[in-house]
Amino acid sequence: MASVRLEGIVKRFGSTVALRGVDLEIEDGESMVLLGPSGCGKTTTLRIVAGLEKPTMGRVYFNDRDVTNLPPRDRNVSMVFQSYALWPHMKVYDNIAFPLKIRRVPENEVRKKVRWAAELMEIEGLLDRYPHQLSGGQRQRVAVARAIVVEPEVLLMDEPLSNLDAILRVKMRSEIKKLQRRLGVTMIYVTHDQVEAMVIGDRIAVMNDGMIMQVGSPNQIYREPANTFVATFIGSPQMNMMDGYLEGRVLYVANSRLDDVDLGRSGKVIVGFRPERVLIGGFEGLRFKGRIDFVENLGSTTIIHVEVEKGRKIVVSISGEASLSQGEEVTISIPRDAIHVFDAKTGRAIAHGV
Amino acid sequence: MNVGDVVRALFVVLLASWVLLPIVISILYAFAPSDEYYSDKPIPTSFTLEHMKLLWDLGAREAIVNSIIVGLGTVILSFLLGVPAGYALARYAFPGREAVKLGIVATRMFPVVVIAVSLLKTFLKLDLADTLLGLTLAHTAMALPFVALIASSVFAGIPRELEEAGFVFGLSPLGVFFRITLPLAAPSLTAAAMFTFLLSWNEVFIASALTLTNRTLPAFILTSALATPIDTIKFAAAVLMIVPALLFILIARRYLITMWAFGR
Amino acid sequence: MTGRASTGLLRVIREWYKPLLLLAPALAYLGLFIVYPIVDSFATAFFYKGYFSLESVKYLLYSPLSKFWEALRYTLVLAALVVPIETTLALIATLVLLQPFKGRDTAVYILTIPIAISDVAAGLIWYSMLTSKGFINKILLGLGLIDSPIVFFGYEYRDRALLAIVMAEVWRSMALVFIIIFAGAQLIHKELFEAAEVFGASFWVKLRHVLFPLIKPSIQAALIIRTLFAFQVFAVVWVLAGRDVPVLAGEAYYTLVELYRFDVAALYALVIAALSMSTGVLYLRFLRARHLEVGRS
Repeated sequence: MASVRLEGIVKRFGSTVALRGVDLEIEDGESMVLLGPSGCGKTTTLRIVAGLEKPTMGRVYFNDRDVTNLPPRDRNVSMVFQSYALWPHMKVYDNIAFPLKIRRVPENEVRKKVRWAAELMEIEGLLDRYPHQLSGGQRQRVAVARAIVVEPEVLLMDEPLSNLDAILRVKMRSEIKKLQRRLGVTMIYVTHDQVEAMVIGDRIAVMNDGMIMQVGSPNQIYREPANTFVATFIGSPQMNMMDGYLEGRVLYVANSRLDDVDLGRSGKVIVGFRPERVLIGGFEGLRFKGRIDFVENLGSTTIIHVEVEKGRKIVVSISGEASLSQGEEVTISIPRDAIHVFDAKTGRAIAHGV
Repeated sequence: MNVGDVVRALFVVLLASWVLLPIVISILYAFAPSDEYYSDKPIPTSFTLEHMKLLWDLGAREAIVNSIIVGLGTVILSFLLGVPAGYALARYAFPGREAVKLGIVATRMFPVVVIAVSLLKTFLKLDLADTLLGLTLAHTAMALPFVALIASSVFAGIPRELEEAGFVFGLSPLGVFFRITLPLAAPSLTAAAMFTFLLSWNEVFIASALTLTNRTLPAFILTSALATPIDTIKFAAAVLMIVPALLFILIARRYLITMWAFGR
Repeated sequence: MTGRASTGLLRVIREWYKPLLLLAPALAYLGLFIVYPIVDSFATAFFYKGYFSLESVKYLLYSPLSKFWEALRYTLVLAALVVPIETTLALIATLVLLQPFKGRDTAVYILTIPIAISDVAAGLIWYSMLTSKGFINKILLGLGLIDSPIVFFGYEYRDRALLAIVMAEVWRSMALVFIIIFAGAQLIHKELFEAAEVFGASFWVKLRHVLFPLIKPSIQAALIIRTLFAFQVFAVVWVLAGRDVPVLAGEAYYTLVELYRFDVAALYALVIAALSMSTGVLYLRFLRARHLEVGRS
């Protein structure tokens, strides 16, 4: 097992810059998720750790060993690819055994290890088949078995669940997490799905535009987003973001105000709060009067769009069903501890709770 | 079955016989005794190897051996040169790649007559004229663009991730090529190799221009077999020529459609 | 400045040395065996013992042995006959074979057979059909439609020989045109047709506005390739008519192998190359103009 450290990684492809200075430390045995929208550089980061790409600048360390210029085969990593990349000319058994055979592991040892990995992934019955004879979910399992059979120092996963259907995805993501815990392997997991990231990551690195926006535990990322990007990227429905103004100890937001706000500054800010923290009615915190514009009933939750000013809406998410209907006048309130304040210029968080 | 179906069926039968009938007739005539050919019977009913044997003794045997040697040599040489080039074209996005590809397509389109005239002149100086080696070199020049382009499209059809998986799981670049890329490309490349052989086997202009005594089969036919006044010998020659072609079509028809852009 | 430029060059070499290394042997070979011969042909045609000479041109234009103009005319006539005929036939065959039916694959497979057959063999195969004792004459005689065989070969029957050549050429090379167009047509998604059907398009509308525009690139590719090769026509003509029907490649062969006039042969080669290149350029022009038109509408 190994810790992984990225220092000042820059990657250019021709004239486009994919990564603009990434620093990241992943502890031994940790599960780190790289999360971000497509094109943010998360897959490039993973491929640099794998050794499939060389960084234009910066260094990669495994346990303080500089591996920046080593080819993948000298890094003892393994990887689950987005398309699984099972070799179509080999049976499942040979696909799993191949990495061991390359490492010249003795034949009986190979057999033992393949059986172990196959049992772990519950694919013992498929060893005699070719990849094209398998379903998507089975291929995925084979790909994971192949990745763990060599007992790598670092296990890399590149959106491994994105080609599965929704039900299988939910099942596999908890299985992968359990597997990683059980093996205690250092894992870097790339995804654009925030729920997947929350389930699988011990920590999550949220990336955007070739940079890391925030690194933290799922809870931290959710409760204390470091900037407006992370705040809006994490959470569904999205965090409500409104322009605000600080003057003295008063925070003005739209046609409402909140007294006794002591942030030690004044001027323009951005105010954010999560839909699930907004209350219908209530007398505490920031309060708005508005008219219900639209109600989405999703069964376990109801999402209510409230228009508080012409063209300015607040999204409210309450659990269960709500006996509210379109056109109704309501008062909504946001508790002080649910209010995030961001710098209007830089987007950086100033305070979580006021 | 409606009228449209009947018309279509008729048309299909017509097309198929248009292609097949001349082949069948030439084969039948090649094995028909002379008196039957010179009779009024359109379809001969007896069988003889007489014409084939005559052709054989006239030099077809040596010509076939030469053709096979040149064909195999062309396949080997053009693959040694063309497969790496095709791999580079498929796998690396280097500056000027499109220009190189276009250049190769252009050489494919260039008249073989140009090559033949100049090469004969050069080969006479180098003592390569009338040698199988010289002809192999010339045929390789003709086949190489085809091999490079088809290899490039074959490699481009192999997902990059399959190779990357090889790298990640411990293979060297050469290991990846020989243990992953090549096995996956093998069926298509085999078909391409057969087609390359056929290109050489069928080529007549360069072969006739460059050789005098070491004739390949088509060159031998163009000079010797055509010089005989006996028609049936000519038909026998046609049959000898088309045997590999029919074999190729039989084995590799699956790949024909994908190869259209590159073949003749 | 120079330091930076050279490190830039070094980086290009370091980054791309692999593909360059892989390509180098093939490119060198093509340079040696194709590009050099082209240059060399100019030298051969226009220089004699190091001096500029127009002997080859003189022979071509004025020698009583030269059949240049006739060869040029026959080559162009053959191309103008063969290419349109086989393209039309291939188009019809594509239309007929596009929709699946029982035995379609066999039919497609049969139609592609001639692509593997050499021009020498194709000439001989049609010879067996068309000689005085050939299949067609025997059938016609047997049916009493003619009294004496139709003679296709011999100097005095050159027009008939031309007909025989056209038949053999169409027979041989239609397979290539068919494969190109058929492959292009197969790529068209069935949904496109179904969409047209949903909107109530008739057969002809589908043909004109859905199928034809979509396979036009294939047709154009086929036309270019076939025209280029048609200018090199040799063996079929040589087998069926010899120099009775002279063509450019045949004259090149004759002057080279029989007369040892390298300069004249090289000149013929250059004429063929020039024809091919101008066709290529013409087609490219035409294609580009078409694309602009499409872009505008």
